[in-house]
Amino acid sequence: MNDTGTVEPRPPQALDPRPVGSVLELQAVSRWYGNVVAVNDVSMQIGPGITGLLGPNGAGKSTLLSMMAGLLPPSAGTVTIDGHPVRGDVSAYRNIGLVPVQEQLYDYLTGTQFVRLNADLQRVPDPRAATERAVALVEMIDAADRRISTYSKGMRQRIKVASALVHDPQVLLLDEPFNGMDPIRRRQMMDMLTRLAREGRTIVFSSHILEEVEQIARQVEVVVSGRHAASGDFAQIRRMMTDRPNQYLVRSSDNRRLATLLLADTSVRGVRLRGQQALEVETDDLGRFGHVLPRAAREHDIRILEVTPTDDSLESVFAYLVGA
Amino acid sequence: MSTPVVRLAMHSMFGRTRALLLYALPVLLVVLALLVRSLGGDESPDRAESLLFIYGLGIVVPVVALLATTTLINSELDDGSILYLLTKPLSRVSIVASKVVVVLLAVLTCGALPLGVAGYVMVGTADHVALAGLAGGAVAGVAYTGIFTALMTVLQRSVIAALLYWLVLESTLASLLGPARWLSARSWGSAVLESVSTVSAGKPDVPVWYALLAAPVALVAGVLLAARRLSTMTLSDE
Repeated sequence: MNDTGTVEPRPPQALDPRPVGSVLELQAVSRWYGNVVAVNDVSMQIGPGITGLLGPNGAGKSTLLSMMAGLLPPSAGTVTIDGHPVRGDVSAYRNIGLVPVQEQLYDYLTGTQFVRLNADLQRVPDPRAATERAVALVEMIDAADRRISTYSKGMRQRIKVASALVHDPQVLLLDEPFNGMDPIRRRQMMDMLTRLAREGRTIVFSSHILEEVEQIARQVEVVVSGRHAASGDFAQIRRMMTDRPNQYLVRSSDNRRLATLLLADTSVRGVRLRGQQALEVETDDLGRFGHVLPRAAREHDIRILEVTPTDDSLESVFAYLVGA
Repeated sequence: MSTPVVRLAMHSMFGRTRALLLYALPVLLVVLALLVRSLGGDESPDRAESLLFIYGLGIVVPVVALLATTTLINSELDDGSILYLLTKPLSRVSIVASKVVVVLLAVLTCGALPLGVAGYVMVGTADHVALAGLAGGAVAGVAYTGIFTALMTVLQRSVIAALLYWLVLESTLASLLGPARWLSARSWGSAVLESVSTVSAGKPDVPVWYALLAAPVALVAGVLLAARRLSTMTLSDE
């Protein structure tokens, strides 16, 4: 970790046992619209394996992915894949597969027709075989000849992935791929991405849900308010998030006495009485606090009526990381 | 141009039930033409030209162009499905040009051609009315395609901008302010219609040479402006 609170990017070979694969690199990338800065001086190097782009809504994840996909030119900085600029040369798309968040596809086409369209647009040598292979890869053979308009959300997502993989790209970019998926489909999608990563592909997906990223991404890039807030493997990011001070609202049968008992413990940084109704407790050690509170209540015959985290939103976690 | 994009656009334009909307107005035009023919009399050529000018150039061609550009350009930008084309090894100009070719095909077959058919139904080959309708419709169709393509992509894909152009600039301003006619696709079409037809000897709103030049320029400019707009598309750009 460097002195700005971020973790230096892991070298690509450390991410995956197979050194073969593409490296996506952003160097001092910024993007602004008039006076509004959407992405501010972001640098990162992403190698083979799964990388999660984590951040709250409006953090700039889609803008970053758009620049990675060559859709949007950076206002400053460069985006390259294996040293070649993504922007300005449409042949770069032969090596990129994109799965946008938008659910709307060409609904009047069948799944097969849609994947075949992508194969034709990519001018793959044998588009028919490539289509069949991609459809099989996402386990959509049975529904492939149905119109997309009849597909469920999960099926749409899978056919989108098939269309992005039909030309066998080394880099796969997915914008919020698990949005609205039920747990079973989400698990299937995660397994599929893990499988693809094992084949040596560089996979980047955006999400605002910590648990999604935790489940499959080994490398995490956290973006908040357009800034690169943190970078590293998931364990490091998780530690930064859980080590932050947590605030709770506690209501009990004897708030004043409970306040005294809690302050005596090292896990509690501060306690404030909110009138006679409740306590505001700030703790540095969430795990220990979880044991101290019920024990103190039990031993001193205090009834706990309510324990509510007051800053547990992902936004507050991200805000903490930005300040870290 | 890209063959897969043209094929997709053809499917989208003509392979869905919404294509019926494209056929509704021209069918009505031909029905009206049959009505005019049934009236007969010496005024038939005048009536025929008026029908082609007021209903044909004034409504059929712009509405068909609006429907066609909305189908192939506006809706794909709105729902984001165009991203699947933009992330392929194709130039933006090639993508837009492929779509515009299909829009143009729809406008010529469902807008300009019916004007010629209606003219023929009304007065046969007399006074070159049928040919004039076809030529005027074609020039206006080319111009509307370019103008609507540009307006719908550059001005936040706004159908409203296209409607304002048609209803405010063409239908209102152009009749009140002479110079506005130089910007009116309808005026360009009617200049060609009037020059080919031998019914009326009135002076066109704009010179024919200008109309013949302005329409393809508008088309090319529309393609280039739309391609330029597509070069800064984002994933969240719904």
